[in-house]
Amino acid sequence: MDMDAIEVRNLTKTFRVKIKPPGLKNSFKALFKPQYRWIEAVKNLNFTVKSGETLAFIGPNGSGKSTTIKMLTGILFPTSGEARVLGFNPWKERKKLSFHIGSVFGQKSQLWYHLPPMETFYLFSKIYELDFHTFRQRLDYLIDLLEIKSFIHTPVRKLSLGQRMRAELVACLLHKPSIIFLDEPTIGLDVVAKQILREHIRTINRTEGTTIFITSHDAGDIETLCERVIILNLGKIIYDRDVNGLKKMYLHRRVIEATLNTPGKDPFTCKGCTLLEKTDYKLKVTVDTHWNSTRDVINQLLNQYDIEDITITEPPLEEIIRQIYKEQEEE
Amino acid sequence: MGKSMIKKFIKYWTIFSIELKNHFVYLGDFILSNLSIVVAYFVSVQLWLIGYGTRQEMAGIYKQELIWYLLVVQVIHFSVDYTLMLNIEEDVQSGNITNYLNKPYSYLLYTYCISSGKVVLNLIINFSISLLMALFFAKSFVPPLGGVLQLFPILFLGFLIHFILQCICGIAAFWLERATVFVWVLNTVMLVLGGGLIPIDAWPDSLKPLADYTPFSAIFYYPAKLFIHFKFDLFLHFLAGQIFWVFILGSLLLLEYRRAIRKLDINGG
Repeated sequence: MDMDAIEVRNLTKTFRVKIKPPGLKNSFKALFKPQYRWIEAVKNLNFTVKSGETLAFIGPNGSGKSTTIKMLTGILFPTSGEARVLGFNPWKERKKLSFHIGSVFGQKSQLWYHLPPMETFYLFSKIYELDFHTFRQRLDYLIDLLEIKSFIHTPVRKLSLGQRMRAELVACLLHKPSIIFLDEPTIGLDVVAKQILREHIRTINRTEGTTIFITSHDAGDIETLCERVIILNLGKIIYDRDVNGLKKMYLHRRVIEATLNTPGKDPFTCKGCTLLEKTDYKLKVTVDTHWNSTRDVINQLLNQYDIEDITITEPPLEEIIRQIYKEQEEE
Repeated sequence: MGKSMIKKFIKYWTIFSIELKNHFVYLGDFILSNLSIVVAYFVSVQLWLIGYGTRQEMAGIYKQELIWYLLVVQVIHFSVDYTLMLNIEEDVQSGNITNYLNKPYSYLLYTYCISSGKVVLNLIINFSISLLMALFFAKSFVPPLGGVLQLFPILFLGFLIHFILQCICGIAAFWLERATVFVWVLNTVMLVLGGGLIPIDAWPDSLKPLADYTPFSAIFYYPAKLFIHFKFDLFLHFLAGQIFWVFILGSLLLLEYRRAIRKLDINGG
Protein backbone atom coordinates (compact mmCIF):
# COMPACT_ATOMS: atom_id res chain seq x y z
CA MET A 1 0.00 0.00 0.00
CA ASP A 2 2.95 2.33 0.47
CA MET A 3 4.45 2.12 -2.99
CA ASP A 4 3.70 5.03 -5.29
CA ALA A 5 1.59 3.92 -8.23
CA ILE A 6 1.90 7.29 -9.93
CA GLU A 7 4.63 9.86 -9.57
CA VAL A 8 4.43 13.16 -11.41
CA ARG A 9 7.19 15.78 -11.41
CA ASN A 10 6.94 19.21 -13.06
CA LEU A 11 4.64 17.91 -15.78
CA THR A 12 3.77 20.53 -18.38
CA LYS A 13 1.86 20.31 -21.64
CA THR A 14 1.58 23.17 -24.08
CA PHE A 15 -0.60 23.12 -27.19
CA ARG A 16 -0.25 25.31 -30.26
CA VAL A 17 -3.62 26.58 -31.46
CA LYS A 18 -4.24 28.35 -34.76
CA ILE A 19 -5.81 31.79 -34.44
CA LYS A 20 -8.65 32.43 -36.85
CA PRO A 21 -9.11 36.17 -37.38
CA PRO A 22 -12.59 37.30 -38.46
CA GLY A 23 -13.39 38.37 -42.02
CA LEU A 24 -12.71 36.95 -45.46
CA LYS A 25 -9.59 39.06 -46.02
CA ASN A 26 -8.01 37.90 -42.79
CA SER A 27 -8.95 34.28 -43.50
CA PHE A 28 -7.16 34.58 -46.85
CA LYS A 29 -4.12 36.17 -45.17
CA ALA A 30 -4.05 33.35 -42.61
CA LEU A 31 -3.68 30.84 -45.43
CA PHE A 32 -0.22 32.19 -46.20
CA LYS A 33 0.79 33.55 -42.82
CA PRO A 34 -1.00 31.53 -40.16
CA GLN A 35 -0.85 32.84 -36.62
CA TYR A 36 -0.72 30.67 -33.57
CA ARG A 37 -1.06 31.05 -29.85
CA TRP A 38 0.20 28.72 -27.19
CA ILE A 39 -2.06 27.24 -24.53
CA GLU A 40 -0.58 25.83 -21.38
CA ALA A 41 -3.05 23.02 -20.71
CA VAL A 42 -1.06 21.63 -17.77
CA LYS A 43 1.41 23.70 -15.78
CA ASN A 44 4.14 22.18 -13.71
CA LEU A 45 2.11 19.46 -11.99
CA ASN A 46 3.58 17.63 -9.01
CA PHE A 47 1.80 14.84 -7.18
CA THR A 48 2.02 11.18 -6.24
CA VAL A 49 -0.68 8.55 -5.92
CA LYS A 50 -0.17 5.63 -3.58
CA SER A 51 -0.91 2.10 -4.65
CA GLY A 52 -4.52 1.21 -3.78
CA GLU A 53 -5.54 4.85 -3.32
CA THR A 54 -8.77 6.27 -4.76
CA LEU A 55 -8.08 9.71 -6.13
CA ALA A 56 -10.54 12.20 -7.57
CA PHE A 57 -8.92 14.44 -10.13
CA ILE A 58 -11.39 17.23 -10.70
CA GLY A 59 -11.67 20.67 -12.19
CA PRO A 60 -13.83 22.79 -14.48
CA ASN A 61 -13.85 22.16 -18.24
CA GLY A 62 -10.50 23.00 -19.81
CA SER A 63 -8.62 22.71 -16.52
CA GLY A 64 -6.25 20.04 -17.87
CA LYS A 65 -7.73 16.87 -16.29
CA SER A 66 -8.09 14.85 -19.48
CA THR A 67 -4.75 16.08 -20.81
CA THR A 68 -3.10 14.80 -17.61
CA ILE A 69 -4.83 11.40 -17.89
CA LYS A 70 -3.75 11.14 -21.51
CA MET A 71 -0.15 11.85 -20.54
CA LEU A 72 -0.29 9.32 -17.71
CA THR A 73 -1.62 6.65 -20.08
CA GLY A 74 1.08 7.45 -22.65
CA ILE A 75 -1.26 8.85 -25.30
CA LEU A 76 0.14 12.37 -25.17
CA PHE A 77 3.77 13.40 -24.94
CA PRO A 78 4.41 16.14 -22.37
CA THR A 79 6.19 19.36 -23.28
CA SER A 80 8.38 18.94 -20.20
CA GLY A 81 8.50 17.11 -16.89
CA GLU A 82 8.57 13.52 -15.74
CA ALA A 83 6.04 10.88 -14.82
CA ARG A 84 6.28 7.27 -13.69
CA VAL A 85 3.23 5.06 -13.69
CA LEU A 86 3.86 1.69 -12.00
CA GLY A 87 7.53 2.38 -12.61
CA PHE A 88 7.07 2.90 -16.37
CA ASN A 89 7.61 6.07 -18.32
CA PRO A 90 4.13 6.26 -19.93
CA TRP A 91 5.03 7.89 -23.24
CA LYS A 92 8.23 5.93 -23.76
CA GLU A 93 6.89 2.56 -22.59
CA ARG A 94 3.26 2.94 -23.61
CA LYS A 95 2.70 -0.63 -24.79
CA LYS A 96 4.35 -2.23 -21.73
CA LEU A 97 2.35 0.02 -19.43
CA SER A 98 -0.92 -0.73 -21.22
CA PHE A 99 -0.79 -4.34 -19.97
CA HIS A 100 -1.02 -3.03 -16.38
CA ILE A 101 -3.55 -0.22 -16.64
CA GLY A 102 -7.19 0.00 -17.65
CA SER A 103 -9.30 2.93 -18.66
CA VAL A 104 -12.92 3.87 -19.14
CA PHE A 105 -13.71 7.07 -20.96
CA GLY A 106 -17.37 7.74 -20.15
CA GLN A 107 -17.99 9.51 -23.43
CA LYS A 108 -16.06 7.10 -25.65
CA SER A 109 -17.11 3.48 -25.70
CA GLN A 110 -14.66 0.66 -26.30
CA LEU A 111 -17.39 -1.94 -26.78
CA TRP A 112 -18.42 -3.08 -30.28
CA TYR A 113 -21.77 -1.40 -30.77
CA HIS A 114 -23.51 -4.04 -32.90
CA LEU A 115 -22.07 -7.07 -31.10
CA PRO A 116 -22.76 -8.45 -27.62
CA PRO A 117 -20.29 -7.43 -24.85
CA MET A 118 -19.03 -11.04 -24.79
CA GLU A 119 -17.42 -10.50 -28.21
CA THR A 120 -15.50 -7.46 -26.93
CA PHE A 121 -14.43 -9.39 -23.83
CA TYR A 122 -13.10 -12.21 -26.02
CA LEU A 123 -11.29 -9.70 -28.23
CA PHE A 124 -9.76 -8.00 -25.19
CA SER A 125 -8.58 -11.36 -23.84
CA LYS A 126 -6.58 -11.75 -27.06
CA ILE A 127 -5.42 -8.12 -27.08
CA TYR A 128 -4.11 -8.48 -23.54
CA GLU A 129 -2.68 -11.91 -24.42
CA LEU A 130 -4.56 -13.81 -21.68
CA ASP A 131 -4.68 -17.58 -21.96
CA PHE A 132 -8.15 -19.04 -22.25
CA HIS A 133 -8.27 -20.52 -18.74
CA THR A 134 -7.22 -17.24 -17.06
CA PHE A 135 -9.69 -15.32 -19.21
CA ARG A 136 -12.62 -17.64 -18.37
CA GLN A 137 -11.86 -17.55 -14.66
CA ARG A 138 -11.52 -13.78 -14.58
CA LEU A 139 -14.61 -13.24 -16.71
CA ASP A 140 -16.74 -15.50 -14.49
CA TYR A 141 -15.54 -13.56 -11.44
CA LEU A 142 -16.32 -10.18 -13.03
CA ILE A 143 -19.69 -11.35 -14.37
CA ASP A 144 -20.73 -12.20 -10.81
CA LEU A 145 -19.14 -9.11 -9.29
CA LEU A 146 -20.71 -6.61 -11.68
CA GLU A 147 -23.90 -8.60 -12.18
CA ILE A 148 -23.87 -8.56 -15.97
CA LYS A 149 -24.84 -12.18 -16.67
CA SER A 150 -28.31 -11.29 -17.92
CA PHE A 151 -27.09 -9.12 -20.81
CA ILE A 152 -23.68 -10.51 -21.73
CA HIS A 153 -25.06 -11.90 -25.01
CA THR A 154 -27.24 -8.90 -25.88
CA PRO A 155 -25.93 -6.51 -28.55
CA VAL A 156 -24.47 -3.38 -26.96
CA ARG A 157 -26.85 -1.13 -28.91
CA LYS A 158 -29.76 -2.69 -27.01
CA LEU A 159 -28.28 -2.11 -23.52
CA SER A 160 -29.19 0.72 -21.19
CA LEU A 161 -26.42 3.22 -20.45
CA GLY A 162 -26.03 1.79 -16.95
CA GLN A 163 -25.63 -1.75 -18.29
CA ARG A 164 -23.22 -0.51 -20.93
CA MET A 165 -21.03 1.21 -18.36
CA ARG A 166 -20.86 -1.96 -16.27
CA ALA A 167 -19.83 -3.89 -19.38
CA GLU A 168 -17.21 -1.18 -20.09
CA LEU A 169 -15.87 -1.69 -16.58
CA VAL A 170 -15.62 -5.46 -17.10
CA ALA A 171 -13.73 -4.90 -20.37
CA CYS A 172 -11.34 -2.57 -18.56
CA LEU A 173 -10.76 -5.02 -15.68
CA LEU A 174 -10.31 -8.27 -17.64
CA HIS A 175 -6.51 -8.14 -17.59
CA LYS A 176 -6.53 -7.29 -13.84
CA PRO A 177 -4.95 -3.85 -14.14
CA SER A 178 -3.16 -2.30 -11.15
CA ILE A 179 -4.53 1.17 -11.94
CA ILE A 180 -7.78 2.15 -13.60
CA PHE A 181 -8.31 5.58 -15.08
CA LEU A 182 -11.97 6.53 -15.12
CA ASP A 183 -12.81 9.64 -17.08
CA GLU A 184 -16.35 10.70 -16.14
CA PRO A 185 -17.62 7.13 -15.76
CA THR A 186 -21.06 8.10 -14.44
CA ILE A 187 -21.85 10.73 -17.07
CA GLY A 188 -25.44 10.47 -18.26
CA LEU A 189 -26.41 7.73 -15.79
CA ASP A 190 -29.55 7.92 -13.65
CA VAL A 191 -29.28 8.05 -9.84
CA VAL A 192 -29.71 4.28 -9.36
CA ALA A 193 -27.26 3.32 -12.11
CA LYS A 194 -24.71 5.79 -10.72
CA GLN A 195 -25.00 4.27 -7.28
CA ILE A 196 -24.61 0.71 -8.60
CA LEU A 197 -21.54 1.63 -10.64
CA ARG A 198 -19.95 3.44 -7.69
CA GLU A 199 -20.49 0.41 -5.45
CA HIS A 200 -18.82 -1.84 -8.00
CA ILE A 201 -15.83 0.47 -8.36
CA ARG A 202 -15.47 0.61 -4.58
CA THR A 203 -15.63 -3.18 -4.32
CA ILE A 204 -12.90 -3.56 -6.93
CA ASN A 205 -10.70 -1.10 -5.06
CA ARG A 206 -11.22 -2.95 -1.78
CA THR A 207 -10.99 -6.53 -2.97
CA GLU A 208 -8.20 -6.17 -5.52
CA GLY A 209 -6.34 -3.14 -4.19
CA THR A 210 -6.70 -1.46 -7.58
CA THR A 211 -5.64 2.18 -7.65
CA ILE A 212 -8.53 4.33 -8.87
CA PHE A 213 -7.83 7.59 -10.67
CA ILE A 214 -11.12 9.24 -11.45
CA THR A 215 -12.17 12.48 -13.09
CA SER A 216 -15.75 13.55 -12.70
CA HIS A 217 -18.01 16.57 -12.56
CA ASP A 218 -20.28 14.66 -10.21
CA ALA A 219 -19.61 15.44 -6.56
CA GLY A 220 -21.36 12.18 -5.62
CA ASP A 221 -18.60 10.18 -7.34
CA ILE A 222 -16.00 11.96 -5.26
CA GLU A 223 -17.91 11.75 -2.01
CA THR A 224 -18.73 8.05 -2.26
CA LEU A 225 -15.61 6.76 -3.99
CA CYS A 226 -12.58 8.80 -3.13
CA GLU A 227 -10.28 9.27 -0.17
CA ARG A 228 -8.37 12.12 -1.71
CA VAL A 229 -9.11 14.90 -4.13
CA ILE A 230 -6.89 16.99 -6.38
CA ILE A 231 -8.55 20.07 -7.81
CA LEU A 232 -7.12 21.47 -10.98
CA ASN A 233 -7.84 24.87 -12.43
CA LEU A 234 -6.24 26.44 -15.50
CA GLY A 235 -3.70 23.62 -15.57
CA LYS A 236 -2.51 24.09 -11.97
CA ILE A 237 -3.21 22.16 -8.79
CA ILE A 238 -5.18 24.39 -6.46
CA TYR A 239 -6.13 21.78 -3.86
CA ASP A 240 -4.65 18.41 -2.89
CA ARG A 241 -6.00 16.86 0.33
CA ASP A 242 -8.32 14.17 1.60
CA VAL A 243 -12.02 14.56 0.86
CA ASN A 244 -12.96 14.99 4.54
CA GLY A 245 -10.39 17.77 4.88
CA LEU A 246 -11.99 19.49 1.92
CA LYS A 247 -15.35 19.45 3.66
CA LYS A 248 -13.97 20.65 6.99
CA MET A 249 -12.02 23.45 5.37
CA TYR A 250 -15.00 24.79 3.48
CA LEU A 251 -17.87 23.72 5.70
CA HIS A 252 -18.33 26.90 7.64
CA ARG A 253 -21.84 27.26 6.32
CA ARG A 254 -25.07 25.55 7.30
CA VAL A 255 -28.41 25.60 5.58
CA ILE A 256 -31.35 26.02 7.99
CA GLU A 257 -34.83 25.26 6.74
CA ALA A 258 -37.83 26.05 8.96
CA THR A 259 -41.48 25.09 8.46
CA LEU A 260 -43.84 27.56 10.11
CA ASN A 261 -47.21 26.88 11.82
CA THR A 262 -48.53 30.37 11.14
CA PRO A 263 -47.41 32.70 8.38
CA GLY A 264 -44.30 34.64 9.39
CA LYS A 265 -44.73 38.26 8.43
CA ASP A 266 -41.64 39.98 9.79
CA PRO A 267 -38.55 39.94 7.60
CA PHE A 268 -35.73 37.75 8.95
CA THR A 269 -32.39 39.48 9.40
CA CYS A 270 -29.53 38.01 11.34
CA LYS A 271 -25.73 38.50 11.42
CA GLY A 272 -23.94 36.13 9.01
CA CYS A 273 -27.19 34.90 7.45
CA THR A 274 -28.35 34.98 3.84
CA LEU A 275 -32.02 34.47 3.09
CA LEU A 276 -32.45 31.82 0.40
CA GLU A 277 -36.21 31.37 0.33
CA LYS A 278 -39.23 32.81 2.17
CA THR A 279 -42.88 31.93 1.75
CA ASP A 280 -45.75 32.16 4.25
CA TYR A 281 -44.98 28.78 5.77
CA LYS A 282 -41.33 28.22 4.82
CA LEU A 283 -38.02 29.93 5.52
CA LYS A 284 -34.59 28.92 4.23
CA VAL A 285 -31.35 30.66 5.27
CA THR A 286 -27.62 29.95 5.15
CA VAL A 287 -25.43 30.75 8.12
CA ASP A 288 -21.74 31.55 7.89
CA THR A 289 -20.44 30.07 11.16
CA HIS A 290 -17.46 32.42 11.10
CA TRP A 291 -19.94 35.22 11.85
CA ASN A 292 -22.67 33.59 13.86
CA SER A 293 -23.31 30.24 15.55
CA THR A 294 -26.02 27.92 14.27
CA ARG A 295 -27.49 27.79 17.79
CA ASP A 296 -27.95 31.59 17.96
CA VAL A 297 -29.65 31.67 14.58
CA ILE A 298 -32.04 28.85 15.60
CA ASN A 299 -32.82 30.69 18.86
CA GLN A 300 -33.63 33.86 16.95
CA LEU A 301 -35.88 31.88 14.59
CA LEU A 302 -37.70 30.26 17.51
CA ASN A 303 -38.23 33.65 19.15
CA GLN A 304 -39.44 35.33 16.02
CA TYR A 305 -41.69 32.66 14.44
CA ASP A 306 -44.14 29.92 15.40
CA ILE A 307 -42.02 26.99 14.17
CA GLU A 308 -43.35 23.49 13.46
CA ASP A 309 -40.16 21.84 12.22
CA ILE A 310 -36.53 22.72 11.58
CA THR A 311 -33.75 21.01 9.59
CA ILE A 312 -30.05 21.82 9.44
CA THR A 313 -27.92 20.55 6.53
CA GLU A 314 -24.38 21.00 5.28
CA PRO A 315 -24.03 22.44 1.82
CA PRO A 316 -23.41 19.68 -0.75
CA LEU A 317 -19.86 18.97 -1.93
CA GLU A 318 -20.81 20.32 -5.32
CA GLU A 319 -21.36 23.72 -3.77
CA ILE A 320 -18.01 23.55 -2.00
CA ILE A 321 -16.23 22.77 -5.25
CA ARG A 322 -18.08 25.60 -6.97
CA GLN A 323 -16.92 27.91 -4.20
CA ILE A 324 -13.28 26.84 -4.67
CA TYR A 325 -13.47 27.52 -8.43
CA LYS A 326 -15.08 30.89 -7.73
CA GLU A 327 -12.40 31.89 -5.24
CA GLN A 328 -9.72 31.00 -7.77
CA GLU A 329 -11.35 33.08 -10.46
CA GLU A 330 -11.55 36.04 -8.11
CA GLU A 331 -7.85 35.71 -7.25
CA MET B 1 7.76 -18.76 -34.67
CA GLY B 2 8.10 -17.85 -30.98
CA LYS B 3 5.26 -18.05 -28.50
CA SER B 4 4.93 -14.26 -28.30
CA MET B 5 4.76 -14.04 -32.11
CA ILE B 6 1.91 -16.57 -32.13
CA LYS B 7 0.07 -14.53 -29.47
CA LYS B 8 0.54 -11.38 -31.56
CA PHE B 9 -0.74 -13.14 -34.67
CA ILE B 10 -3.81 -14.42 -32.78
CA LYS B 11 -4.38 -10.89 -31.42
CA TYR B 12 -4.54 -9.33 -34.89
CA TRP B 13 -6.44 -12.29 -36.36
CA THR B 14 -9.12 -11.83 -33.66
CA ILE B 15 -9.37 -8.12 -34.50
CA PHE B 16 -9.84 -9.05 -38.18
CA SER B 17 -12.46 -11.70 -37.37
CA ILE B 18 -14.48 -9.45 -35.02
CA GLU B 19 -14.78 -6.93 -37.87
CA LEU B 20 -16.11 -9.74 -40.09
CA LYS B 21 -18.63 -10.70 -37.38
CA ASN B 22 -19.62 -7.05 -37.09
CA HIS B 23 -20.58 -7.01 -40.78
CA PHE B 24 -22.39 -10.33 -40.54
CA VAL B 25 -24.88 -8.69 -38.15
CA TYR B 26 -26.28 -6.76 -41.10
CA LEU B 27 -25.18 -9.01 -43.94
CA GLY B 28 -28.32 -8.28 -45.96
CA ASP B 29 -27.70 -4.53 -45.81
CA PHE B 30 -24.04 -5.11 -46.59
CA ILE B 31 -24.86 -7.13 -49.73
CA LEU B 32 -27.41 -4.53 -50.87
CA SER B 33 -24.87 -1.72 -50.43
CA ASN B 34 -22.55 -3.63 -52.78
CA LEU B 35 -25.12 -3.99 -55.54
CA SER B 36 -23.99 -0.71 -57.16
CA ILE B 37 -21.25 -2.76 -58.81
CA VAL B 38 -23.93 -4.28 -61.07
CA VAL B 39 -24.72 -0.88 -62.59
CA ALA B 40 -21.09 0.28 -62.77
CA TYR B 41 -19.89 -2.96 -64.35
CA PHE B 42 -22.77 -3.10 -66.80
CA VAL B 43 -22.23 0.51 -67.95
CA SER B 44 -18.46 0.15 -68.35
CA VAL B 45 -18.85 -3.09 -70.34
CA GLN B 46 -21.43 -1.48 -72.63
CA LEU B 47 -19.23 1.59 -73.21
CA TRP B 48 -16.26 -0.55 -74.12
CA LEU B 49 -18.35 -2.75 -76.42
CA ILE B 50 -19.39 0.41 -78.29
CA GLY B 51 -15.73 1.47 -78.35
CA TYR B 52 -14.69 -1.85 -79.87
CA GLY B 53 -17.47 -1.66 -82.48
CA THR B 54 -16.88 -4.39 -84.99
CA ARG B 55 -13.25 -4.84 -83.95
CA GLN B 56 -12.37 -7.92 -81.94
CA GLU B 57 -9.06 -6.60 -80.62
CA MET B 58 -7.62 -3.28 -79.40
CA ALA B 59 -4.13 -2.58 -77.97
CA GLY B 60 -3.51 -6.31 -77.77
CA ILE B 61 -6.65 -7.01 -75.72
CA TYR B 62 -9.54 -9.00 -77.18
CA LYS B 63 -13.11 -7.94 -76.53
CA GLN B 64 -13.83 -11.00 -74.37
CA GLU B 65 -10.61 -10.43 -72.41
CA LEU B 66 -11.48 -6.81 -71.77
CA ILE B 67 -14.80 -7.81 -70.18
CA TRP B 68 -12.84 -9.90 -67.66
CA TYR B 69 -10.24 -7.15 -67.23
CA LEU B 70 -13.09 -4.80 -66.31
CA LEU B 71 -14.45 -7.41 -63.91
CA VAL B 72 -11.18 -7.46 -61.96
CA VAL B 73 -10.74 -3.66 -61.82
CA GLN B 74 -14.39 -3.05 -60.88
CA VAL B 75 -14.26 -5.68 -58.15
CA ILE B 76 -11.10 -4.02 -56.75
CA HIS B 77 -12.62 -0.54 -57.06
CA PHE B 78 -15.77 -1.57 -55.20
CA SER B 79 -13.93 -3.62 -52.58
CA VAL B 80 -11.13 -1.35 -51.40
CA ASP B 81 -11.79 0.65 -48.25
CA TYR B 82 -12.23 4.23 -49.45
CA THR B 83 -13.59 5.29 -46.03
CA LEU B 84 -10.33 4.43 -44.30
CA MET B 85 -8.85 7.91 -44.71
CA LEU B 86 -12.02 9.49 -43.30
CA ASN B 87 -12.09 7.02 -40.41
CA ILE B 88 -8.54 7.89 -39.40
CA GLU B 89 -9.33 11.59 -39.63
CA GLU B 90 -12.43 11.04 -37.50
CA ASP B 91 -10.41 9.06 -34.92
CA VAL B 92 -7.86 11.86 -34.66
CA GLN B 93 -10.28 14.76 -34.58
CA SER B 94 -12.90 13.24 -32.28
CA GLY B 95 -10.24 12.00 -29.88
CA ASN B 96 -11.44 8.40 -30.36
CA ILE B 97 -7.84 7.50 -31.07
CA THR B 98 -7.32 7.52 -27.28
CA ASN B 99 -9.26 4.25 -27.07
CA TYR B 100 -6.75 2.65 -29.46
CA LEU B 101 -3.49 4.15 -28.26
CA ASN B 102 -3.86 2.94 -24.68
CA LYS B 103 -4.04 -0.72 -25.71
CA PRO B 104 -1.16 -3.13 -26.27
CA TYR B 105 -1.30 -3.17 -30.06
CA SER B 106 -0.14 -1.09 -32.96
CA TYR B 107 -2.77 1.39 -34.12
CA LEU B 108 -1.69 0.92 -37.74
CA LEU B 109 -1.94 -2.88 -37.58
CA TYR B 110 -5.26 -2.61 -35.76
CA THR B 111 -6.57 -0.33 -38.51
CA TYR B 112 -5.21 -2.72 -41.14
CA CYS B 113 -7.06 -5.68 -39.59
CA ILE B 114 -10.31 -3.74 -39.35
CA SER B 115 -9.99 -2.49 -42.92
CA SER B 116 -9.09 -5.97 -44.19
CA GLY B 117 -12.18 -7.47 -42.56
CA LYS B 118 -14.32 -5.10 -44.59
CA VAL B 119 -12.28 -5.56 -47.80
CA VAL B 120 -12.38 -9.38 -47.70
CA LEU B 121 -16.16 -9.44 -47.32
CA ASN B 122 -16.57 -6.80 -50.05
CA LEU B 123 -14.31 -8.84 -52.30
CA ILE B 124 -16.30 -12.06 -51.86
CA ILE B 125 -19.65 -10.33 -52.46
CA ASN B 126 -18.51 -8.18 -55.39
CA PHE B 127 -16.66 -11.02 -57.06
CA SER B 128 -19.66 -13.35 -56.78
CA ILE B 129 -22.02 -10.75 -58.25
CA SER B 130 -19.83 -9.65 -61.13
CA LEU B 131 -18.65 -13.16 -61.96
CA LEU B 132 -22.20 -14.04 -63.00
CA MET B 133 -22.31 -10.93 -65.19
CA ALA B 134 -18.91 -11.62 -66.77
CA LEU B 135 -19.99 -15.19 -67.57
CA PHE B 136 -23.07 -13.75 -69.27
CA PHE B 137 -21.13 -11.17 -71.35
CA ALA B 138 -18.07 -13.27 -72.23
CA LYS B 139 -18.74 -16.92 -71.58
CA SER B 140 -16.22 -18.15 -74.13
CA PHE B 141 -13.19 -16.72 -72.28
CA VAL B 142 -11.48 -19.08 -69.85
CA PRO B 143 -8.90 -17.33 -67.64
CA PRO B 144 -5.55 -19.14 -67.39
CA LEU B 145 -4.97 -21.03 -64.14
CA GLY B 146 -1.95 -18.81 -63.37
CA GLY B 147 -4.19 -15.79 -63.91
CA VAL B 148 -6.54 -17.01 -61.20
CA LEU B 149 -3.83 -18.12 -58.76
CA GLN B 150 -1.82 -14.89 -59.08
CA LEU B 151 -4.82 -13.03 -57.69
CA PHE B 152 -4.00 -14.18 -54.17
CA PRO B 153 -0.53 -12.56 -53.78
CA ILE B 154 -1.07 -9.71 -56.26
CA LEU B 155 -4.45 -8.66 -54.85
CA PHE B 156 -3.12 -8.94 -51.29
CA LEU B 157 -0.18 -6.63 -52.05
CA GLY B 158 -2.37 -4.30 -54.14
CA PHE B 159 -4.80 -3.88 -51.26
CA LEU B 160 -1.85 -3.34 -48.91
CA ILE B 161 -0.53 -0.53 -51.14
CA HIS B 162 -4.02 1.00 -51.23
CA PHE B 163 -4.21 0.76 -47.42
CA ILE B 164 -0.83 2.44 -46.98
CA LEU B 165 -1.74 5.29 -49.35
CA GLN B 166 -5.03 5.88 -47.54
CA CYS B 167 -3.22 5.84 -44.18
CA ILE B 168 -0.57 8.31 -45.35
CA CYS B 169 -3.32 10.78 -46.29
CA GLY B 170 -5.50 10.00 -43.23
CA ILE B 171 -2.66 10.53 -40.79
CA ALA B 172 -2.11 13.96 -42.33
CA ALA B 173 -5.10 14.88 -40.12
CA PHE B 174 -2.57 15.19 -37.31
CA TRP B 175 -1.27 18.31 -39.06
CA LEU B 176 -4.12 19.44 -41.30
CA GLU B 177 -7.55 20.36 -40.09
CA ARG B 178 -9.18 18.22 -42.73
CA ALA B 179 -7.52 15.29 -44.47
CA THR B 180 -10.67 14.82 -46.53
CA VAL B 181 -9.26 17.27 -49.09
CA PHE B 182 -7.27 14.30 -50.35
CA VAL B 183 -10.18 11.90 -50.66
CA TRP B 184 -11.50 12.90 -54.04
CA VAL B 185 -8.09 13.67 -55.56
CA LEU B 186 -6.40 10.48 -54.37
CA ASN B 187 -9.28 8.17 -55.22
CA THR B 188 -9.75 9.61 -58.71
CA VAL B 189 -6.03 9.73 -59.51
CA MET B 190 -5.66 6.18 -58.22
CA LEU B 191 -8.40 4.84 -60.47
CA VAL B 192 -7.35 6.75 -63.60
CA LEU B 193 -3.57 6.35 -63.34
CA GLY B 194 -3.95 2.82 -62.03
CA GLY B 195 -5.56 1.61 -65.25
CA GLY B 196 -8.93 1.26 -63.60
CA LEU B 197 -10.80 3.00 -66.41
CA ILE B 198 -8.57 2.34 -69.41
CA PRO B 199 -6.03 -0.53 -69.48
CA ILE B 200 -2.48 0.83 -69.56
CA ASP B 201 -1.91 -1.14 -72.81
CA ALA B 202 -4.32 1.26 -74.50
CA TRP B 203 -2.62 4.44 -73.22
CA PRO B 204 -0.54 6.60 -75.58
CA ASP B 205 3.15 5.60 -75.41
CA SER B 206 4.08 9.02 -73.95
CA LEU B 207 1.87 8.41 -70.91
CA LYS B 208 2.81 4.80 -70.22
CA PRO B 209 5.87 5.65 -68.03
CA LEU B 210 3.42 7.32 -65.61
CA ALA B 211 2.18 3.87 -64.70
CA ASP B 212 5.72 2.76 -63.86
CA TYR B 213 6.55 5.79 -61.74
CA THR B 214 3.39 5.73 -59.62
CA PRO B 215 2.13 2.96 -57.31
CA PHE B 216 -1.47 3.06 -58.57
CA SER B 217 -1.09 0.50 -61.37
CA ALA B 218 0.07 -1.98 -58.73
CA ILE B 219 -3.43 -1.81 -57.27
CA PHE B 220 -5.64 -2.08 -60.37
CA TYR B 221 -3.67 -2.89 -63.51
CA TYR B 222 -1.30 -5.62 -62.25
CA PRO B 223 -3.96 -8.12 -61.08
CA ALA B 224 -6.31 -7.39 -64.02
CA LYS B 225 -3.56 -7.66 -66.64
CA LEU B 226 -2.21 -10.91 -65.18
CA PHE B 227 -5.74 -12.30 -64.99
CA ILE B 228 -6.20 -12.07 -68.74
CA HIS B 229 -2.57 -12.36 -69.99
CA PHE B 230 -0.73 -14.42 -67.40
CA LYS B 231 3.01 -14.87 -67.98
CA PHE B 232 5.27 -16.03 -65.20
CA ASP B 233 8.05 -13.48 -65.88
CA LEU B 234 5.45 -10.68 -65.96
CA PHE B 235 4.07 -11.98 -62.66
CA LEU B 236 7.55 -11.81 -61.08
CA HIS B 237 8.09 -8.33 -62.52
CA PHE B 238 4.79 -7.07 -61.08
CA LEU B 239 5.40 -8.82 -57.75
CA ALA B 240 8.80 -7.13 -57.44
CA GLY B 241 7.17 -3.78 -58.31
CA GLN B 242 4.56 -4.23 -55.60
CA ILE B 243 7.16 -5.23 -52.99
CA PHE B 244 9.15 -2.13 -53.95
CA TRP B 245 6.12 0.13 -53.41
CA VAL B 246 5.17 -1.58 -50.16
CA PHE B 247 8.70 -0.98 -48.88
CA ILE B 248 8.90 2.67 -49.99
CA LEU B 249 5.37 3.71 -48.99
CA GLY B 250 5.42 1.60 -45.83
CA SER B 251 8.63 3.32 -44.67
CA LEU B 252 7.09 6.69 -45.43
CA LEU B 253 3.98 5.80 -43.45
CA LEU B 254 5.98 4.63 -40.42
CA LEU B 255 8.05 7.79 -40.50
CA GLU B 256 4.92 9.94 -40.74
CA TYR B 257 3.13 7.97 -38.01
CA ARG B 258 6.02 8.27 -35.54
CA ARG B 259 6.12 12.03 -36.04
CA ALA B 260 2.33 12.30 -35.88
CA ILE B 261 2.08 10.46 -32.56
CA ARG B 262 4.55 12.86 -31.00
CA LYS B 263 2.52 15.85 -32.00
CA LEU B 264 -0.88 14.45 -31.11
CA ASP B 265 -3.06 17.21 -29.63
CA ILE B 266 -6.32 16.01 -28.21
CA ASN B 267 -8.59 18.46 -26.54
CA GLY B 268 -10.04 17.52 -23.19
CA GLY B 269 -13.23 15.56 -22.68
